[in-house]
Amino acid sequence: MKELRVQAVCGFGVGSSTLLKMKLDQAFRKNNIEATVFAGDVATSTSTACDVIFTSRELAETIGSRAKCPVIVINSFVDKVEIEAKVLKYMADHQGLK
Amino acid sequence: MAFIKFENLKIRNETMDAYTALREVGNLLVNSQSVKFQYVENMITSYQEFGPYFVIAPGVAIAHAKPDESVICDDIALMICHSPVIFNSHNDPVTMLFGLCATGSHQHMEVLMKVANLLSDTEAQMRIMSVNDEQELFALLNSLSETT
Repeated sequence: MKELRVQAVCGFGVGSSTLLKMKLDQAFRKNNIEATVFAGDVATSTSTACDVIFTSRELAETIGSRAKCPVIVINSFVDKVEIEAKVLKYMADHQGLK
Repeated sequence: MAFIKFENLKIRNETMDAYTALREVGNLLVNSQSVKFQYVENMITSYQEFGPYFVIAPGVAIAHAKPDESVICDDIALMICHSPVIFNSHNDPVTMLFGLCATGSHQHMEVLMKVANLLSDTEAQMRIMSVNDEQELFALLNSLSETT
């Protein structure tokens, strides 16, 4: 399987997205899934090539219609349990990982 | 090294709306000479434009704006709001409002890592909310950041 490209998106790609990136990194690593996770900003996020976008509820509304990949909403950027569950659900739904 | 500078900490008991709260936390960064005043205005414009996406966890917001010429150096401020602030987010009401400024997207990873660790620890959060003044808050944050 080719390596996943995962984008964590916030307004400018510096604050909350960096925090979310760290939490996503931990979730992928914990489950032995190889993924490149990077932070992005809302303006360029949909033109940056990636397999999946993780972001907040508000920004998902903004980018949802333009995105060429699944957009996954994270309610709490520091909730390990929520983030891991959504990563695994994405892997099961879109990458055929059971 | 202190994780958040003493002068960047504030405890507020008064009721505030979202704009006042953003200005107050932004002004901490202005007073520390980490940003120009324009940055505070940019934070507010960003809230108007993108909504309360920076309210990233229940009760916790990390307000920030774009890294541009209004940022002088990387810094972080924290305001504890004993009278919770409403941002119209599903994670309302906010009691811990961080203000962040960055010159690029990678330099402040270490401080964000500490914030993330702090926010994953509900006991630490409860202790932070129970301090009475900035001096006590400063001491607590330093002791918490050493153990994480």
